[in-house]
Amino acid sequence: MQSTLSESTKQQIALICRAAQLILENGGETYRVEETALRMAKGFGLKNVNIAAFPTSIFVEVDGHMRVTRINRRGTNTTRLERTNSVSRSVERGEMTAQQAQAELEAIAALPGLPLWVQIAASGLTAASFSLLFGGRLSAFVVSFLIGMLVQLVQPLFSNMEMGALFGCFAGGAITALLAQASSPLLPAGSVNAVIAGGIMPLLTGLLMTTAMRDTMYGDLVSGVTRAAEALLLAASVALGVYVGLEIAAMMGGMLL
Amino acid sequence: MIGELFIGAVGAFGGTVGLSLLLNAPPRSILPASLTGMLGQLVYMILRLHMGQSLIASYFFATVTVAVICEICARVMRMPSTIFLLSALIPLVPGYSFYAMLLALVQDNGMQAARCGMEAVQVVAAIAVGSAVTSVVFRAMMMRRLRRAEKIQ
Repeated sequence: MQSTLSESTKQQIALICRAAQLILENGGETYRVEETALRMAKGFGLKNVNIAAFPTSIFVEVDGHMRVTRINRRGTNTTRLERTNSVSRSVERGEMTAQQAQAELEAIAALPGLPLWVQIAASGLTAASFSLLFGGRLSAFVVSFLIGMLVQLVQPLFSNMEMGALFGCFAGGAITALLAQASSPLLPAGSVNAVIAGGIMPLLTGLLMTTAMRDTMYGDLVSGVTRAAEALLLAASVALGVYVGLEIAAMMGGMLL
Repeated sequence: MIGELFIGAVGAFGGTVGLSLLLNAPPRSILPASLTGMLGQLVYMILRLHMGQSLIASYFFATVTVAVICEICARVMRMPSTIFLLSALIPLVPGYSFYAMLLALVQDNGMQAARCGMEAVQVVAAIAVGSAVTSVVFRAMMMRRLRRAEKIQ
């Protein structure tokens, strides 16, 4: 079928795809992606809009004109979620033209993350705080602060690799277990586990699993199952990392004694 | 008891601040979300450890508390509630149980894996139901208010 849509309509469809892509890439739920896209379509005055979003791809169709966007990168950046959401609301209320929306969406996509040292400090704080929740005390707090910082420090090494998230989790788990075992003489009995549990928390929050469950409950069954699989795979690579770390620590301990 | 709750509160607050930063949360959402996360952890600890409620009930009511405050914050600060929820639920979500299940699987300890996995699924279900119920109820209330506003006009 020959598309009869005007250029400006095509641009609007492209913008809807871009906004949907930003939400999916940065950790929004699937129903929120479709809600944002429909809101923008309403603002542009488009009728007969169909949207299907999955964690890996988005399909937008308007009067026989179809656009598919592939999602390759998935993370969580709630600042981007918030700003994309407010763009879609401005478009809905007619306060923003397509050109302004495009400029704003590109600005959102280019937002820099936090500086590396803040990320490292935040990761240390997370690890240390969670070691308290898992029964650690002051000594565990200090040790897991250092481990948490180191785990975050090595993450940029993996970010551009294929399957980078899996390797990052594996390395993080291994580093945490090795260092926790190595510092066990400094810790009271039972604190090694609290240090390991705290150290892996920056990598593994269970948020993915909760989002998966929410997606399933909102009726986005495919998204829910896909996200659950991703969450299990990441947790498995952390667990494997910890296991390898513990084994190496045991072997080295055997050699030293 | 007070000391235990205090340590739990400090841990939950620090953990939520740290992870909110890692999730690139909007700066003005971090403090309310972290206080909410701390409150959720306190509700959970009081229900579970001091009132002897079941695992699912404790997590469910802690999540409802967190979700209600997040919905209110979202309305007051004009941001999507997900932004607050993603941060504030962090102390409650069972990342550790999933890891413990998979570690037990790797170590060929089937009983332990089943126990941790079951606990993780129970907790995730309680949290997901708690947050979804709250947001559905809030949406329904908003719809009713909108409709009433239209009638008045």
